[in-house]
Amino acid sequence: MSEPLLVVSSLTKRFGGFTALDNVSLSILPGERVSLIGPNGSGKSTMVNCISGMFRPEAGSVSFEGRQLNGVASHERIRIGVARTFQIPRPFATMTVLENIEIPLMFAISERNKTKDKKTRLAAATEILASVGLGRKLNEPSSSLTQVDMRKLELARAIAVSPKLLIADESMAGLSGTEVDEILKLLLGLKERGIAVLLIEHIMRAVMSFSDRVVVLVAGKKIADDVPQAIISNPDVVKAYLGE
Amino acid sequence: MKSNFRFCIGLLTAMIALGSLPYVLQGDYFFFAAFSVLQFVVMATAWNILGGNTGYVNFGAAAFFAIGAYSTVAAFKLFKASILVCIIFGTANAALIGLAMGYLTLRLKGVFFSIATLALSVVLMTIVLNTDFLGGARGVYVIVDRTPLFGLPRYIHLLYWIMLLISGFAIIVARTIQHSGMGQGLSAIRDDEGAAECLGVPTLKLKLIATTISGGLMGLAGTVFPFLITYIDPTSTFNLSISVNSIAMPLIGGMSTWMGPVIGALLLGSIQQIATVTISSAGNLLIVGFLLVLFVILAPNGIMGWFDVWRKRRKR
Repeated sequence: MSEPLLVVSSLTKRFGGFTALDNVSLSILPGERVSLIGPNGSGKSTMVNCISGMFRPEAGSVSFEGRQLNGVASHERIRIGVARTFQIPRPFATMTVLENIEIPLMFAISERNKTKDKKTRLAAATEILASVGLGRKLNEPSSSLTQVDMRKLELARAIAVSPKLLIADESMAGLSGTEVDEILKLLLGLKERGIAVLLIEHIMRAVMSFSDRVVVLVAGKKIADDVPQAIISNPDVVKAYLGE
Repeated sequence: MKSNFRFCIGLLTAMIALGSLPYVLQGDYFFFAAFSVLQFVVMATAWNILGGNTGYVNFGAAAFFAIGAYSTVAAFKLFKASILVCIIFGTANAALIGLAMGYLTLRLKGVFFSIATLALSVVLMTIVLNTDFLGGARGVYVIVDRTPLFGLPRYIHLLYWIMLLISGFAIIVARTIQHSGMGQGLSAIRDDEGAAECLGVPTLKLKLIATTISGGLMGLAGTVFPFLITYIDPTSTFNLSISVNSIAMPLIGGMSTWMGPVIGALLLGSIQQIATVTISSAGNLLIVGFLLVLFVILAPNGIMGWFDVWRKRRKR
């Protein structure tokens, strides 16, 4: 068995007197597809923010490829391979779709692989956008995109620099059935590129068909961590979602 | 690069045309007015690096201007420093204070940042008011030998030349930033700082560079001021009208490119100078206010924004 890519150990995050994450541990293997589920307010997004460096946890640690990430800034984390998307798409509104992709290509690639040349950078950006199906909207202002296209842009921006781990925070929330399938197809395609995915999601259909493993958070505590089939028959999980 | 070439030619032509005016025009007043307008070109351009590119609204522009002006006073009183030394010293001081302000305040967002810059202005003014060496509330004189150099007819022409060069320099800096990777990073910060950080933009570092450059250039604009006026006091240097103008000019010209602040400053600066002579010197800020209201309603993206819309329409 290979070394885990991401190890989160005993992570605790408090907001004042409220404990959003309580001693949570999890690990992700290279190329693995893990889903993180849980009812609203269970700490999923807090988890994402702690892994991506937006929040500083009170206790516990996050390590990536054996490297401790405590105190490492967000912009450093994407350079070493931890990319994330946002629950509500946050495009750079005054820029075109293409320019949006240019930002990570300019800043998030480690110094040695930096594509200084604008031409190669634009070619790379165009290719990435074509791969997510935004190839015909390169020069549109990003603020004019539809909701599903914004999600695609959000994903494209995160995978533009070929991260080793992508944290997709509710990339499908609020989308229609066919749109969910489109995004799901994109995420499934990442396996070929060797990108591990931590999927935060409410849509169980997507979670079940996507995941190698499912982690369940309830009120800041991890209550289950297993293969999808075992998760849906786990009594604790059923109780958390449906009540007794 | 074709656009770089065009820009260089354009700037050079403008510099030569404006620079030759002392040999053509008579009278001091025109150059006094032109100096003031150019001074605002520098202020507006400098403000826009942080305000327009990065989206951090600095209400303390006058404070940086004053740092430049009072640095000149200090250097002059201590060492009888030459004008060039004063310029370098004042710019460095303002840049350093810009950097320090960045460290202290850039973790603040939006309105809170703006209030902090306003507070900085008040703090610095209080310090100057209570420092006898800098003249305190009474103000201070800077008397220099006013013999003109380079075969220029008068001393004010030399100051006008210096200000012209400073404006050119500020414009080059602003344009270089806008077209560089740093400029794109700053735009990303303006649009969404959190997303920018998560996509690899070193936000704190870029913002510190921006405050340093912006502060330095504002200080640079202030360094020559004491030589022109020969007497400065806190009310004239920490003047609210300087801060307001530095914000209003980019707003009116358009904040998304380097050209916006320049156009805004030339327009608003000239109107104010003309109004001072023809109507009244007190009417200045009234005009600024009136134009601001007008532009916010009719052309929120300024003159350049207007122009963009018009160009797009014509393309169709």
